[in-house]
Amino acid sequence: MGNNTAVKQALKANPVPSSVDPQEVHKWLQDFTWDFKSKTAKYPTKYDMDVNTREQFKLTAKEYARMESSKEERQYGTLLDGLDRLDAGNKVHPKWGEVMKLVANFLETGEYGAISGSALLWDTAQSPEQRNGYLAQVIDEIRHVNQTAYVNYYYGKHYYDPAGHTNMRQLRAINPLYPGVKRAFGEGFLAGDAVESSINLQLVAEACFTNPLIVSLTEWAAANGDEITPTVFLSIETDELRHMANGYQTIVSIMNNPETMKYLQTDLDNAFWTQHKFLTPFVGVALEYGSKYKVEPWVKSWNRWVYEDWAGIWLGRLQQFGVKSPKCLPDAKKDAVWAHHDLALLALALWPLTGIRMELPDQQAMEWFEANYPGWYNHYGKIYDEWRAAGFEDPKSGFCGALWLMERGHGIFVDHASGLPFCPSLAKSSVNARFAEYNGKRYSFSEPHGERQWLLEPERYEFQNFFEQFEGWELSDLVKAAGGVRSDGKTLMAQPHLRDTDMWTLDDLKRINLTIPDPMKILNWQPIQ
Amino acid sequence: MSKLTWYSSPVRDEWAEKINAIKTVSEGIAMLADFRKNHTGPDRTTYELKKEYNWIEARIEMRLNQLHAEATLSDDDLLNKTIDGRCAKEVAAEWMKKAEDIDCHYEMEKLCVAFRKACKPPMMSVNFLAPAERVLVAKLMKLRAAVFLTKSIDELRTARGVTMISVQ
Repeated sequence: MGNNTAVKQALKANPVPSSVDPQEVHKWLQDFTWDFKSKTAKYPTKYDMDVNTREQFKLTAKEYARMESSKEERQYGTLLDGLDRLDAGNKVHPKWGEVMKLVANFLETGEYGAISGSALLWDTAQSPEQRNGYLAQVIDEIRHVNQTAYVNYYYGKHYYDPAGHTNMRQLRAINPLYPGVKRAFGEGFLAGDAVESSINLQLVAEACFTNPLIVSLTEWAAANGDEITPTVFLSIETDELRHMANGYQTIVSIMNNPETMKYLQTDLDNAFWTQHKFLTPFVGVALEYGSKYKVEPWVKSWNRWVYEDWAGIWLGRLQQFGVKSPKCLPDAKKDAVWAHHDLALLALALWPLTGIRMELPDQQAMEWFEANYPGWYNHYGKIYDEWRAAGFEDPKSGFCGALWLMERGHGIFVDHASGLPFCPSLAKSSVNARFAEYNGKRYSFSEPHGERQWLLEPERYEFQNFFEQFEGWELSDLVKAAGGVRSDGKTLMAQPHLRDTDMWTLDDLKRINLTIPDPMKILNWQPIQ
Repeated sequence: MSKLTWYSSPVRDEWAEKINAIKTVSEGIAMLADFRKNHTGPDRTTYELKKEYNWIEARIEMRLNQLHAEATLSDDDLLNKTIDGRCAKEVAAEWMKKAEDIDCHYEMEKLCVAFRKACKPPMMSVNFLAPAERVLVAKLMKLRAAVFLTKSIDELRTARGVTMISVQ
């Protein structure tokens, strides 16, 4: 009864539109300014989101879904007809086809986290228009989860070596790079302050990194014979523009409140560092180490899109409100040159855990690296040459890059804030290692920004790192338990070369004789005086 | 005893036995409170169960929930009272009152951690826990963000009692 009265009153105040024109229906819906009881959000936030915030897209969810379904038809039609006929799956250079096993799957995690992130914002914003924008983003992110998963599925059906494309969700459990995805996307997008999540997701990951990530990635994909990835990822990117607008509207919605500036700079700095710590090195590794045919060096793309376009122009628009560039930006700029080379070294050292086939840079690649990153050969190239000579590819060699590093005193640790591995004695990026003991437990950090994040929010960083989780496991047992063997039950999915001969098996891995240690336990740690 | 696999371990077996031995709500409350105090949160007394603490805590919660539901079938008890029979609204209000005068983020952090350990379901139903936690955590976030970028790393380490270490 009471509900009926409320509906009648609302309809009296807002008569039903005289046509079904989408814009008119949208306007009509927005006139129902729901009275949120005492204006409280469902999730905690430091900010007060303005109830009068507008939203640019002005489409109802139904109208929006109609537009998205047209995109779906074009994309899946192309994949299932045109690209099938062209045998696109087998025209991809194998080096690229392998790295896509990781890229598509890792981004699926990002899209999945983004569903929750945009739903979190829907539950926090007060303006009906703004909520409409976030609702459409939830629809998009669900679409993107399906799309990124479909890349692995399509490759699994059409690419000549489907192993890994078929079960990367299982394999990633032991991948030492995957905790970096979980921290940046799985946690950064949906935990903590809802507005901070928006800054992570929309203001940084989408507005800052999807340009270099998706635009560059599709360019590199096409250069390496991959027409599948551009077909899907460029369809995704058409939605990202709208998400960037949502991010901008999040900021607009809080800017009228004088309290906002007490918190915004902190959230911006933290979100930028959180996303950068994973995306800058990972995308660089994928593009430059996962390709045969090179395009623009990652550092140049990064400088153009992240440094000039985002930090310069995009953040510049917020300068009028007092927003400054993140303090960590100079360190990030240094990372853009070297962090992906540091991470590639560790990925190659730990190849049995990645689930994909990787090869050491060949002569042509080494020349390209040296030409674009002067000093690369003396630091990294020499190591790769030594590994090659020591039998890196040979299944009978018993060689393991990780052991080679440890035997020479180059310890591998896990950064407690980003979740990524690092090697302090060989890093050329902004690594500035520090180790701490607190409440009976030891922690490793690769730089001060992450240490600060942990010192201020320790409860946010209670994850188990790779060493804690798998300490005591013998390497071949671990790979087997993670589903890392092919259908013969013994040949590894991961390989240190791209050939179909001399494939490593579980026995070859056992020959390495490596039991996972926890460096924070076995080394002789002492207080610094 | 299970062999070491993804999904089972001797530690889980040992705890599953202990948890199955709980027969009353009060025993379950005591075990959960003790476990949370010693094995969860940044202030835990030991990290010896770090690898399995989430699994064990969830199992104790599950068992306690089951015993509580069997002992208490009234909706009112389940929705409006804490597991030990107090008025959930009043308990939540007491925690929020404690937060009113706090202006230090370390003190606020302690309160939030203590609140979660004391009230996370099934100790208090989520319809009272979530709104109270939103208020407490929003205050913690505000206190932290205001000093996040301004305090020196040394100051933060000292306040936490962190010791810097190196390999000898």
